[in-house]
Order: sequence, then structure tokens, then C-alpha cells
Amino acid sequence: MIYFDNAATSWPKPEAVPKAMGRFLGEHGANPGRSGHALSIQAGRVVFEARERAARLFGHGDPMSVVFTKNATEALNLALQGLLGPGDHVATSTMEHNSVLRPLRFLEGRGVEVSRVPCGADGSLDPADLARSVSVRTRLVVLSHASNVVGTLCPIAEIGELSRERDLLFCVDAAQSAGVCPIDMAAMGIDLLAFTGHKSLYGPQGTGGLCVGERARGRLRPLLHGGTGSASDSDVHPEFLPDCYEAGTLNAVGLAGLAAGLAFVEEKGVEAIRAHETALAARLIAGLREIPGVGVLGTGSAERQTAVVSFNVAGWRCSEIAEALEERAAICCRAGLHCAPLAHRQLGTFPEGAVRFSPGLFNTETEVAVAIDAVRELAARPKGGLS
Amino acid sequence: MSSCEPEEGYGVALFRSVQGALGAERLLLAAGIAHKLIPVPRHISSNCGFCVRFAWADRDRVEHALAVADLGTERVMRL
Repeated sequence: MIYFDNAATSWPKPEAVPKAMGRFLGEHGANPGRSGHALSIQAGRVVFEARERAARLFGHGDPMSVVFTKNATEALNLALQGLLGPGDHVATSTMEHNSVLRPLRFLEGRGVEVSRVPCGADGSLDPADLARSVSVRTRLVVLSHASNVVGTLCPIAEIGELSRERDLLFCVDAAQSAGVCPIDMAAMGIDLLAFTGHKSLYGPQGTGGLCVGERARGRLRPLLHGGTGSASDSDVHPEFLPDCYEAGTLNAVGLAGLAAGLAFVEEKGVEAIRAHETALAARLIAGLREIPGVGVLGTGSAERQTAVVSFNVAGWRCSEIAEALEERAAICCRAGLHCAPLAHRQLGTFPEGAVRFSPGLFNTETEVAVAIDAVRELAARPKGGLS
Repeated sequence: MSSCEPEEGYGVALFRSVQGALGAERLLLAAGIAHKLIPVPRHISSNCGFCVRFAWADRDRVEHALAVADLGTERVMRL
């Protein structure tokens, strides 16, 4: 089996991840931060380690302002719904995932003005276009670091600089880039960084977070109110980080896995992971482009994108290609619109969508070659001629 | 109190949340200061979770070690 769906969730996980989760449940699976006994303290240490590792990976000095959520979507909702109110303007792009587009559509109904800046045919954003959308009422810029459809990288350092110059907050959706692209919140001018744990950080599903930079502190309303284990003499929700955004018991077993995944990334090195995935993406792009009838979306340059390679085959529906690839070559990939309707409109692939290959660290060049051959074989056949 | 209680007794550092106590543990370990995470004494705080206990003779060293980070320290007091 060839797993090419790492942009949806990475698989397999490093051995240390399920081991850490098993150890947590088997040895100290108590509630972190609620009680004072040894098991609760040890559970708290595991969660704190995850905070420290995430802060270190993202050039974010303070582990206390790493807020854990169940995924990047929740983190983005916290950033967007927590910050924006009637009369505010927010700038974003057409390449965003629904995790940004839908909260913004919801907020539009509550008086927030939204600019969706068009991108190029390859999914790239021109910072000058974004700058033109900014007005005196703009409060936030929110962009994905890497497109989940075509992997195209956003020039976040440039946008961060622009945001500082215009005194805007800058929120980055790092769901597709955290762990595979270098991210330094301080150097890149990022105020809010939303990440998921289950993609290139190799943690389990149900983990994610929001790193809250200095300029954004105290400015987000919590999505949830409830028990935090702190200030227990009051029925008023606390205002300090991270407790103010972490009401209720955390997914501590998941965070044990995330801590192990973060340790794995640290040990391997983001640059080395990126180099491996870029090499696979470059081969995929080159191999697929050579096949008659195959149209590869995006920049065409592995250096300018993550290892997300989407394509279509003339005469075939993308879902038929995905099904045939699994049946004939045991390739697991994702076809369709990838929860990014505006991106597919921008790329000219709406409403059909595309086939998405997203190799990861554990894939090999041999697997890439097998996949290219499998696509070539399908592209040479008339649609429906598989029986 | 145990028979091996330090001569000057114990002190505790209390934090807004357990995240602060866990951050303090890291700093005190790095500074080589003996300490223990213990349940928050109910008579001095309403917080759930745990705080840091140390020998009161080490008070200055503890306060110095904790000053390097914003841990949400509420109080350092004699137990």
C-alpha cells in the first residue's frame, strides 16, 4: 500500500507516538492540572512538555501562550471569532481552507467585512494585492502558509512585515506547513499561529493549538468558558494564558502523542524533512507532467510548494482516478474539492476538483515511481476501460 | 511534619495555574534547588492542582530562579 494522503493526516506515525500514548494511558493517565497527586503531576508534565516543544519549534518564546485545541480549525475559530467584531475588516485570500472561509462567512453575517484577495493561477499570492485590500478598519490578515490543494507557499515573512507596518494582527494557518517548513513567529511577524498536531507534527488526530504572540495577548475572547483548575473560588472565567482558552479537560493522551511527534521533528530537523519531501514532490511533478492528458496544478516547482501535488487526467473524473489508483495500485490519495471551494475556483477546477497526492516523510522515491506509472497506465486508457 | 523537615521549615510558591508550577519545576531543576510539587494547601489557596514546596532557607534562590520567566507566580510564602 502506498499512502499518499499525508495532507489529510500523516501516516504512519513515528513509533514513539503510539508508545507515548500507550505509556500515558497505562502509567499516568490522570487529569493534568486538576489534582495534586503524583499521577496528575506526571500528566501535567507531559502536557507541559508538548507546550515547550511547540513553543521552541515555532520560535515562540513562551510555552504559557501555546494554547491547545482539538485541531487547527478550533484554533482558527478562536483567533477569528475571538478577535473580530462588527465594523472590523479582515483580509484573507481565495486559497484558504474552509477552516478560515467558513468562520469568516459566519462573521460576515455579524457585521465583519471580509476581503478575499484573488491569487494567481498557480495559487500564489502577491503581497501588493493584499496591501491594496487593507483599509483603516482592517484589524487582521489571515492566510494559510501552504495551500492544502496545491501546496503553494505564501510569502508569510513579507506579509508579516506588512502587517507590522500597518499595525495589523497577522494570523497564519500552519496546518499544512508546521513541521515541514521553518516557522519563526518572531522573525516572520506572526501574531497568531494555528497548527494541527496530526499532520507534519506526527501527533494523533484531536490535537492542535494556537500560539498567541505578544501583540495578540488579551485581545481574543474565549470560545469556551468552564473549569480550568485555577481560580476555583470564582465562577468568573480566568483571563490568563493558557487557562483562559483551555476550559475543560485537555486531550492529554493525544498531547502525549503530540509531544513525542514534536520530539521526532526536532530530532530529524525541519530542514531535513523538508528536503526529503521536496525531492519526492519534484519527482512527482516532473513524472506526472510528462504523461499525455495529465494536467498538474500549482507552481510546477517543488521549491515553491509543500509536497502536495494535485492533478487531473483528461477524460476521467478525479474520483474515478482515485478509486482506480487504489484498486489497481493500492495508492491511497484524496480526490475532490479538499474543503477549499474558492481555491478550486481560482485554479479553474471547480466544481470537479482534482486528485491530490501528498507524500510524506515515510514515502520513498520508489513509491513515487510506482504512482507515476499507475497514473500513466490509467491516462492511456479510455475512461471506463478498466474491466 | 516529617522528621526530616528542614531547620527553617518549608516555603511554597503558588501560581495562577499548574502551568506555572510546571514551568517553575523546570527552572528549579536547572538551578539545582531541591523542591517538590505538592497539592495546593487549601487553607492558603482556592486553586486546584499543585504548587512547589521548597526549604524556606532556599527562599532567595527560589525567588531568583523564578524571576526569569512569567510564570504567573501568585505568592511565595512560608508554609
